[in-house]
Amino acid sequence: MLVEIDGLKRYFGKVKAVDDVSFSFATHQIIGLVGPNGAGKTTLMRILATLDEPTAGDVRVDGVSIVQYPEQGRRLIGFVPDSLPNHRDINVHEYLDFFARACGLRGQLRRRVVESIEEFTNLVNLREKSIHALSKGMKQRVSVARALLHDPPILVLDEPAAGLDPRARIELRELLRALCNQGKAILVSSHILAELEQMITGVVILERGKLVRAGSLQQVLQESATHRVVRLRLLESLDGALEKVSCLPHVESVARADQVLRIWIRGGDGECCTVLAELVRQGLPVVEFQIESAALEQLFLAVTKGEVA
Amino acid sequence: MSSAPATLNLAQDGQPRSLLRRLGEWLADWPNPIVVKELRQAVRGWTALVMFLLYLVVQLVVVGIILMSVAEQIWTESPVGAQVFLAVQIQLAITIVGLLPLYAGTRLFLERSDVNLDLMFITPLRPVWLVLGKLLAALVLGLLFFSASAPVMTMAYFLRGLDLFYAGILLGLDVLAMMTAVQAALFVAAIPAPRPFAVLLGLGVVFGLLFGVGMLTGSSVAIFAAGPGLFDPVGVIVVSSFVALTLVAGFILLFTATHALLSPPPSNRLMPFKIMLLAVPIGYWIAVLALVELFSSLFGPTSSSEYLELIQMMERTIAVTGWLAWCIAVSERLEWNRRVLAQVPRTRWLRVLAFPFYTGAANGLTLALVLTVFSLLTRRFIGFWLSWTGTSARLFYSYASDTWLEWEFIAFMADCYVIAYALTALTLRRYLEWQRGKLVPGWVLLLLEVGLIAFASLLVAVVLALLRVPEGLLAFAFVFTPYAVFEALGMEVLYRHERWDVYVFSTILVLIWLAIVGSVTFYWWWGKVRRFAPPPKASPSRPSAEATPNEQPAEAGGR
Repeated sequence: MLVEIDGLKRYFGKVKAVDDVSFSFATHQIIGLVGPNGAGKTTLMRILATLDEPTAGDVRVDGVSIVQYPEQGRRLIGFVPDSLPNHRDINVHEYLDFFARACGLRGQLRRRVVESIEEFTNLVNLREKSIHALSKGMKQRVSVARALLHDPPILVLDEPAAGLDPRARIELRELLRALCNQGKAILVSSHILAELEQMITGVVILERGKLVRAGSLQQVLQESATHRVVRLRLLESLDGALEKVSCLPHVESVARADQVLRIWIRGGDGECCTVLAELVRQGLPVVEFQIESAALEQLFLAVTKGEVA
Repeated sequence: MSSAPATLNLAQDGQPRSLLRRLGEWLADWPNPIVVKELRQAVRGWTALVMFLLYLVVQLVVVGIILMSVAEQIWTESPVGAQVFLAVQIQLAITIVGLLPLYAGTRLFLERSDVNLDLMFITPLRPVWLVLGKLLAALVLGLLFFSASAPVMTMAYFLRGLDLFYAGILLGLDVLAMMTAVQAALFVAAIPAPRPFAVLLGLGVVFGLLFGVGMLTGSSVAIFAAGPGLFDPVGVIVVSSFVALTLVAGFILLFTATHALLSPPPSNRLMPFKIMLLAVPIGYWIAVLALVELFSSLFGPTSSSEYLELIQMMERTIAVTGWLAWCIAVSERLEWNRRVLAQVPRTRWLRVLAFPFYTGAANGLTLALVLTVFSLLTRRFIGFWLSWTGTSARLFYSYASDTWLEWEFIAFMADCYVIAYALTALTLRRYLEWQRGKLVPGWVLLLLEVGLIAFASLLVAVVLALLRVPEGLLAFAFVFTPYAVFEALGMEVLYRHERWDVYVFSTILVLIWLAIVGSVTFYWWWGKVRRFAPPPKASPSRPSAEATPNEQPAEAGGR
């Protein structure tokens, strides 16, 4: 299943909340949608969830425009909004049962699906509790359970980890990974980048409504970084190597850590190739030459300016 | 969530089940999900419960007070039952036409807010199920109040003095009024208005419901307090039938309008409403003819003076409905989207018929024209038709021959104004919103359009009144006035001062206005007509068609 966001625009008067954003993602992927506050993440997700209409552009799921056919979009997409359910007069089981009915599940199948979802999201012991009485993490689970009821191939989660304690965050991460392994396409927004980095396969960075970077995590990190950090291990002692390496072109600095050297190279993959070729040319016995991945946080700080739309 | 979640298996259940079990499941599944949810919440929440308990307590206290005050008369032949019934009827009317719609409307409004948006609007439930669910849930609660009143009403019958005929008619009207009031509240709650407008709309609903309660209790008091003997039973049947007809017509229009508001914006969501807006006046008109014919043949022409009033009522209803043409006309979208265009009929003659239902402006104008024709034909047709059937020809002959021209002239003028306003509002929108790329904010545009109506309805009258012009000249206050206001205010002034020349002046004015606005909008209309065509058969955005690839979408991950 392929989700294509094509030239999406959403203007509120003069404010361009989403401005000509295009990217795509598919099943077995978890895409992190990141950006400063006011970047247009929630607006984009609301359009994906068919709760808002774009000013221009389209969102297609396997070629079907969900802007034109929002009813079909609702069957394909499970949406977890940033506002959690907070109803006083309905318990967890009734809440899920209502949505199961609304999704057209009938009879035995409905009961089985609701039970299965409760088990999957660990809500069995909370099923008789009023939603209002639940903690934030529990409400988040209910919200995720609700989004999973109709077994949508696409999940859109708006800040699902906000306000959760560390344990709940880890559990949420595991849950999303499990869902991704089952073949769902997941778009998740979060401000907790270190955590997001551990589960996502791709990233989309927005700022002032515009797309700043998009692609697989590794690709974006590599393409965007102005420096590379390379881990170098040699067969022989590093004593003489340190000086040689620091004199190589593009090398900014070198540090020794135990039996490896960490080299800061100015530039991208091409410059790394040059450095490696030079090392070999100078006869240094290279055993390991590994580019360390840049952190999402660094990338985010490098490519965004913190401006809002 | 455990650290290693179980596998989620939502595969279809294929186990065979017994017939009895399947029947049980069907019964459990049959109700609308919204009804189930609403009733569950009503049982768990305190609002409905408190409302019901309060209802019982008030009923007990009121009936107790009445019985104590007439304790001595109970054992005589005094009609105590009518008093008790009246008290319960008033309480019932306040609850089911006032409080219950407010409760239902508030619940829908809160669910439409951003904070609680999850409950209905992320589900794949069809809009008709949403509206039906909300309505049925409120009606079930209403039924609860009826059932709570039933024992006391039965007791009222045994206390003597209760005329079952009138009681039955009032209870029937109660049900219809409840349905229409609940639907009206749901309609207003479904309007996606910003908070200040929502508050204003809410106040409007409260006043509307108070009016409904007032009408219902007023009728009840008039019948039971004044004594049933005061009214001609035939008259009561006739009036009730027409009131019931109006309530049903209002309910149908409100239901389809609410459905339109809750439907996805890219769909041609106004189409069912546009169809109903044409069908309801026609149905109303046919039903009025049928009822007049039925009552004439049943009760004869001697006791049917109400018919004339009722036909006037019908004309006024149609004229008020005509103002919806304005709303429809300004609901015009700049262009049809691919989804709507994909539904445009391919046959040419069907396309001609469909055009008004796909175009707000064309629909508004068609509606205004149809209503004009109806207004012009109604009296003539009724007169001729009844002459032909011979039932109550005399009755209509005298009326129609005296003033028909006058009435039809007024109707023609009034409907010309509907068209002129609709075209002007459309022109304003076209220039200020579309052609200049949102020249003014939406709320300024709305104010301008509302101002147009205000100007038409009130401004001239207010200015003339402030200038303290002689009373005879006040007739000119109504030259721009829509038909309904004209009916309420203008006629008396015109009759009193015999200023029929105002009609002529007003008609010339509106014809000039129409000519100007018509010529300004002509090319736009022509363009719209030319663009009204279905896309080629292999439309890329239709679900069955193949996907159109993005030109250069950034890929967030490998496919």
